[in-house]
Amino acid sequence: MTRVVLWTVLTVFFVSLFQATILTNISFLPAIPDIVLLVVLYVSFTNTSMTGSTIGFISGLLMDFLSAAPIGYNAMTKAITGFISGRFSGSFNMNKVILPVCLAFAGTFLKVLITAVLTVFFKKGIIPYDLLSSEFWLELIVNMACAPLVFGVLGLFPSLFTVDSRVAE
Amino acid sequence: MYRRRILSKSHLDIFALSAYLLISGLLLAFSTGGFALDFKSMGFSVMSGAQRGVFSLTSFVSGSITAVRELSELRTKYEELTEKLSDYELLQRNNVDIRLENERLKTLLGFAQTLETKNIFSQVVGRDPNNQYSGITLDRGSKDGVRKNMPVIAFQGSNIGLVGKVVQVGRTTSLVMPVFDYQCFVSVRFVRSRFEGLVNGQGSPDSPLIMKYVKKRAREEIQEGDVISTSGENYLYPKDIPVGFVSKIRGLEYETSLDIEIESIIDFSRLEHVFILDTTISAEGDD
Repeated sequence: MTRVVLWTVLTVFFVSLFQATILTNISFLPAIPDIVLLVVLYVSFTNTSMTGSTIGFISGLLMDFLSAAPIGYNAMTKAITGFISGRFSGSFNMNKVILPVCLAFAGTFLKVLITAVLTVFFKKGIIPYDLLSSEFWLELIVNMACAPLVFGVLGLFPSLFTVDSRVAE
Repeated sequence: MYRRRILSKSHLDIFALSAYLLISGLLLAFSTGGFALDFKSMGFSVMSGAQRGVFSLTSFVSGSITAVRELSELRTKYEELTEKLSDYELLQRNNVDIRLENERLKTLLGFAQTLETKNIFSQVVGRDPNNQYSGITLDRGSKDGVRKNMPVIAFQGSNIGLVGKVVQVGRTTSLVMPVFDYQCFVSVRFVRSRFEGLVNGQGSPDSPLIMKYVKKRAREEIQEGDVISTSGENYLYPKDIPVGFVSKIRGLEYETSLDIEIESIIDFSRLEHVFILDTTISAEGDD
């Protein structure tokens, strides 16, 4: 598990910088895709809930440092997302398109739900998603569109992002 | 035996998740409520320093690619011009580019010199990776004299306008909350009629700013296109920095104040360079 966590954290480190420095400056993108969320979903779904919550927590923390969001916001949302995604590990066959799209859809909605719950407990600084706004739907669409690509790229390196099942047992 | 192992593994998952939730909850509580140890600031210094590195690297790579492309274009043109013995054209074009860049830099320098307060010239190196937040990362930090709550302005075309304020300072970078952010409130005044109000963003640079608490009797004296600027009342923003102009006026019968939509003077999609103002020191260096 340690190897997977280390490689995932390293990947997320560069992905979050790519997201904050390059993707945010691409004017034709309708919304910024949450690539870090997709990485967390992939790694947790192909491993266990323990791995999922760990990489979700660390990845979210890295994102918190780059964002105007209060520290802990991304850490909490992504730890829960990783945990739940990990719980479904092995339940479905890893399809190249449909499953990544469905996971991105569910992951984005889960993020919205957790954010809404957090606004109840931490009113200051947490900005809830507006389900009626175009920003939310555009983010959902770009996340779903990017998911097959991200899952495909990460799937090329199973030795880095998947714990050997024999070792895991 | 197998069941017990599965059970303990399941408990370990939940234990780990609980630990992560507790830590992130504590961090959230500290960052939203204030705490002696500023984890956010420490992490921001590290991550945004790396972000600046990535920005420099991508600038270098894109600059190199552009340079290679321009080189090949120049070579083609040179061959054409050698035939015509007109190297002069190439030189003239280079001169035009240099002159344009020179003029742009001179304009910025001129603007910087016209400012009454000490200012720190800075470049935008990144934006918020979360869609619902709108932080802008600049390439100047505490090493350059940037401090929290410093106002940030920019020049676009011949206009000066308010960008926002510094909310997080790292060693070599800082994070700015722009005026269109949900959490940004600016005390403003109409330049012509002098009525006051409070401007708040709607979270997106494409959405207009909302000006509230404008007395209803101001309705007859204000009109679309009127410019509003900072009032200087809360001492956070210097007085008379233009913020935007009126795009729509709304007023309900039963309300005592008007809601006014404001179009920001700054086009945030084109924002490249900004000036961070040190309002505690004048341009001459007086405290």
